[in-house]
Formats: sequence, C-alpha cells, structure tokens
Amino acid sequence: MGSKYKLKETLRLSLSLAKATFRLRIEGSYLGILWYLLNPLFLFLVFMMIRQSSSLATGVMFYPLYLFLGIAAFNFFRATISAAIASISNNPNYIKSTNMVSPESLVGAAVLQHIFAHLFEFLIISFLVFYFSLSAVGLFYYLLAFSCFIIMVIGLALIFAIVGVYVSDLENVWAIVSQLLLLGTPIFYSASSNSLIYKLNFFNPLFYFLETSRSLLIYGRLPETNILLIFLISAPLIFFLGVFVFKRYKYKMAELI
Amino acid sequence: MQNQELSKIKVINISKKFNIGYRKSDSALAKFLAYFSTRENKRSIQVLDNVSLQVSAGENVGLIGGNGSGKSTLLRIIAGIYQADSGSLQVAPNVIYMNGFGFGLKPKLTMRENVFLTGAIMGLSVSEIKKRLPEIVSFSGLEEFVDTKIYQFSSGMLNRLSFSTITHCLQQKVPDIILLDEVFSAGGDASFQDKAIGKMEEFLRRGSAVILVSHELGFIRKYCNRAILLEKGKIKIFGETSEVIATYLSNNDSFKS
Repeated sequence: MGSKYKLKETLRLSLSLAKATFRLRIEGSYLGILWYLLNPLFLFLVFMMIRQSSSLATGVMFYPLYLFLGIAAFNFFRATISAAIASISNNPNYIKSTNMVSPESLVGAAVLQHIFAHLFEFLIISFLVFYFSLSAVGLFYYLLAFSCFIIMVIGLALIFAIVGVYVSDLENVWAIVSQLLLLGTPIFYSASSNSLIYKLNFFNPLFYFLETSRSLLIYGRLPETNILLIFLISAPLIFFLGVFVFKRYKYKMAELI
Repeated sequence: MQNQELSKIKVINISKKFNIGYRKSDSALAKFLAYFSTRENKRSIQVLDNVSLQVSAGENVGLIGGNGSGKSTLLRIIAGIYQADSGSLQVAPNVIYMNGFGFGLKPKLTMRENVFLTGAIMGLSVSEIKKRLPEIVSFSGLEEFVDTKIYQFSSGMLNRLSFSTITHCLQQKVPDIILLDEVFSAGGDASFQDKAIGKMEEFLRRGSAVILVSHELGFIRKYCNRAILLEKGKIKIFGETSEVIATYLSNNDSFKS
C-alpha cells in the first residue's frame, strides 16, 4: 500500500513538473511546439537531400518512413538522457530545500516531457504510414514497442541522473556519445547483418527498438527472434538496474549538489 | 520526562561527516584518473557528532546555533534527505521539511502557473488548487498580477507569493512533523509581515511536532517551549528556551550589544 501510494505520488508530481517544463519551452516563443520538431525535421531534410544525391540506403523500402523512425527514436533517446543528466544536478532546490519533491519524480518529469514531445513525432510517423498506404495496425504495435522502450529508457535515465551528480561534465560526454550514436546506429543507412557495425549495435539499446519498430511498421512483421527477445528481456532488466542504482545512491547525491 | 508514546522524533547518537572535495575532481577525466590513483584528494568535516533528541506531538522545539553548526544537516537527516553515518532514527511517517518558501518558483511562468506548480509539489490535486487559488491571491495582495510572469516581480512580491501559496496549500494538512529551516522571514512590507506571522502561528498550533531553525531569537522565544543549542555539530544544551537562548547569547558577543 505504502509503495503503491508513493509510486502514484511520484507519477503525479512527475506529470506536473513535466507539464511546467513543457509549457516553459513552448510558450514565449513564436515557434512554440515546433521547437520539439525542428531538430528531427531538419535532420530528416538533410538526410533526404544527401540520399537524393548519393547512393545512400538505395535498397531501403519507404525510405522517408525508415529514416524518420530512426530520427524520432534517436531524438527521444538523446533528449531524454540529456534531460535526465540535468534533472537532479540542476535542481538542488527541489532536492535540498524540501522533502516534498522525490528525486525520482524529477527524473520521471524528464522522461515524461520527452514522451509528450514524441507524440508529435508520432503524428508525422502516422502521416507517413498513411502516405505509403501501410497497415495502420502497425501503429498500434509501434506504441507497444515504444512502451517497452520507455521502460528501458527510464532505467537508463535513472542511472544517468545519478552519474550526472557525481560527474560534473557528463552532459559534455553525452553530447559526444550521442553524436557517435547518431552515426553508429543504422538511422539513415542500413547495415547488413554480417557487417561489423551491425554486430557492434548489439551493445546499443536504441538499436533494438529501432529494428523492432521498423519491422512492425514497414515490413508488417516481427523482428528477428534474437532481437525481439533481447529487447523484451533487457528493457525490464535495465529498468530494475536503474531503480536499484538510484535507490542505492540517492541519499548520497543530496550531499553533492 | 518525555512520554514515549507521543514521541514523534527520536534521534539517538546521530553522527554525520561530509567529504569536502574539489570541484575539479568531479569531471569525468578526473574520476577516471582517480580510479587508478591511490592519492586521496579529499578532506572531511564532522557536521554532527553524537546528537540525540526527542520531540513529542504538539511540541515546538527551537534549534539555534552559529552558521555551520549543523542545524540544517540535522533537519535534513530527520526529513530523510541525508542519511546519517551512524546512530539511529525513529521518525513518524508524515514529515514536511522546508528551507525557505521559494523552492518551487519558476521565473518564466505566470503567478497562476506557479501556484499550480507549487500546489502540485505540496501534494494537492488540480481541483484543490483551483479551490484555493482565490484565497492565495487575495492573501498575497497580488490580485493585479495573477497572469504576469514572475521574473518581473520584486523580491518582496516573490516572497508574498511563495509564502501565501505554501501556507494555504498546507492549510488542511496536519503532518506528524514539521521542520522549518529559516522560514520566518516572509518578506513583504509590515502589513504583510503581520498577516504572515498570524498564519504561521495557526500552522504551529495544530499539534504536529515542530522543529524551528531560526536566527530570529524572538520567534524562538515566542513559539518554542524548548530549544537546542548546537555548536560544532554537538548539542551544547537542550532545555528551557530562555535558558538555551541565554547560553547562546553569552557565547556570542555580537548579540550582547
């Protein structure tokens, strides 16, 4: 009962904090909600132009959807982890000046804020699905796969939030890592299953969601069994690892910010 | 003699040490090098040393002492924000800790949005906050600025807003324990100060166990039955308020004048 109430409270507060941050970002700006979409849209346009004038991913079916799925997943992953890194260290007031804001809710707010943002990307994905006359049922399966990805990302966000307190320049490190992820993950190109880059991607959490969502939406089938299994098993494992690490170090972190 | 049944806070031989690090050693590179290095680049200070105390329901206890004597650390340990290094702690479940009142304010949100955000932090539902909004606005005397972004507020107006919001959000709550860390400066002009003190009095007479940290000795004298003098992390004296204040003043020449 106690932990159920605590979880409900954490979710309620995460939602309020996420709403406030979301409003802060979209208000007072002529571009408003477009701020969330500009980054993926520009990347999309750049890669589409590169493909027009090169032989990039020539054999890929429905390339605009293939590309946008990759960009949307990458954008959600990059932005959520980036917000999680700052969630604790940039909010010492919430951590030290009161006991009414649980640190978990700050990380929850970082994740929720980018789930809201992903909904706008989902609208573009839906548009592309209808544009290419693909099965709309795939969109439902996409949301299921995205829910699983959220579980994985929450676990990682909890870990990064804690490490962000201990390592002051983690945001800079993450900026470099996310550049490597953008280039190393098959977002705008396709990697054959016997290539080195494909094998390296087995260590990349983003890769599993990407493969799953593309299989479901573009090809209308499940991904390869090993990819699906690793995705479904690693998501809860990473989530519980995140919860464990966060619980273990959360008292220490108040002393460091 | 304290009644064991009514005791809401029981602190036994609590000690706490803080490591004083150097900011440079928080970078990713420094952490990496430190992993392979045996040199310890830290020193530690003893913030609390074998502190024991007991506070019962309905009792207001003042906590005084110089800067760095460990007052805030003690309250944060009781609130569960920090963990003690040693000793034991028995605390009733429903605790509210506040260090100042302005912890939830976002400068780029309007006064109305800030009331909703702070209300959510205080555990109120949207409908409850809506119900209290007119009262909060009227108490703060800021009726004309409800939809103004608060970065345009003066510091006195910010104090009025945060004080009104928090005290009204706490109106119907009777927590087991209230820990107030330097909140007795409500800001604003003389008329608001009077209203604010009246509100605080209401708050302090609801039967919770209260610990007040303040450098305003007049408040401690007025509202606390007992007081504690902390000196370099140790309890120098815990007893009748007047006696504790007299000891504090006799140790502190600047107050004599």
